[in-house]
Amino acid sequence: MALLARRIDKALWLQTDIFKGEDVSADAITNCIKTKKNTLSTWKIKDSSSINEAILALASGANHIDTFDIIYLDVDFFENKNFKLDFTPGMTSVKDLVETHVDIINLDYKKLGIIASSIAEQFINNKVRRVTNLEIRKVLKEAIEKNRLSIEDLKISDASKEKIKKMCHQAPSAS
Amino acid sequence: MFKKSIPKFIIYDQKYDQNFLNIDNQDIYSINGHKYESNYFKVNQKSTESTNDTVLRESYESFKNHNKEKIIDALLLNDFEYGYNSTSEFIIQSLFKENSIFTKDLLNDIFISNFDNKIIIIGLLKTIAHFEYTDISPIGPTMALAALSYSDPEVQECGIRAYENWGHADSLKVLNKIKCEQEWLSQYINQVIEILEEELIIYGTTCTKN
Repeated sequence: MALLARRIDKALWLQTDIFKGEDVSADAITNCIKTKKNTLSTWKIKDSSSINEAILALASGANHIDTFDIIYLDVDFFENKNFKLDFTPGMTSVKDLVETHVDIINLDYKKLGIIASSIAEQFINNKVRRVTNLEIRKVLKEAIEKNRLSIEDLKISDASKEKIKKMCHQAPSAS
Repeated sequence: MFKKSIPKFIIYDQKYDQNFLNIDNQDIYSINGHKYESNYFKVNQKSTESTNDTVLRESYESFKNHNKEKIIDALLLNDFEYGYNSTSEFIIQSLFKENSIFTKDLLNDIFISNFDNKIIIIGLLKTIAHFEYTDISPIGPTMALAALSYSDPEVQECGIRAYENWGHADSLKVLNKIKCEQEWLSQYINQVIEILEEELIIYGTTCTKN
């Protein structure tokens, strides 16, 4: 089942007790599902076992290796609710992932509310995944070892690159 | 930062009192290696403070006056997104190049004087978490430690994140002693502890100096 993955900030979603049915905080909506030109950026993966692909896509375009939270929503859900999806090239140094970027377009107040509710539901169903700093580095390391990515293409600091290089030299491939 | 309050027993000691007015100015402020200040001294500040101290104090005040508001504005107005650069990061990095000691003192000053402002505290923590541990020490780890006792879980999380990013062995000492009421934060602390331990075992060290 194809999924759309997006990075969020867990702390903002837990500002209110969404587990007890409280409304999602405004900070969560204005920060985590902030739109540009009524569009929300996501990454498509084939199923939840492919989550590392979304992590790789997200991490390879970032300036820092910071822990983040990721949610994934069923593509069918969006299609059933008449959302419009648009494949657009994604900002990632991993060439084979560029085409997996999907924009949810033509969003409005109501549709954004549906997305917010479905993310809250992911929390309730314990389907929000925290991706730690070390996990991100492992995913990047693996992509480098498989020649999907060059470390020089990453925007992270030299010190962070050194840490990944060190992992490549000192440890067997881990996932 | 540059001076501490003088102990009362010295202020009222007549023997010292006499000497303060007469002895070599270089020694007056230095007691057990620390520098002291009191209203008593302020009368004679110009005559007793060493030229170097005066220059240093005035330079810092000038640095602070020029940059404090700029940093606070950036912290208040910036949208911080994990994984991405922020304006405040660029500003602070550029000040670091100018004078890292003054910059750290100023960040500490901003942190303490705005401790009741969650937005500023979160912005500062998110920013300093992107500096190398050795560069931002000792104020960075101290700020992160203070954040862990904050009443707001979002601020606490920023403190944990900072320790995670620095990946220093010292982080383990702190995180092993922290208890959070929020279950998700406790889980996160445990995750970070496991990561740091794993890195210590596999890679031998957790922190590399660039």
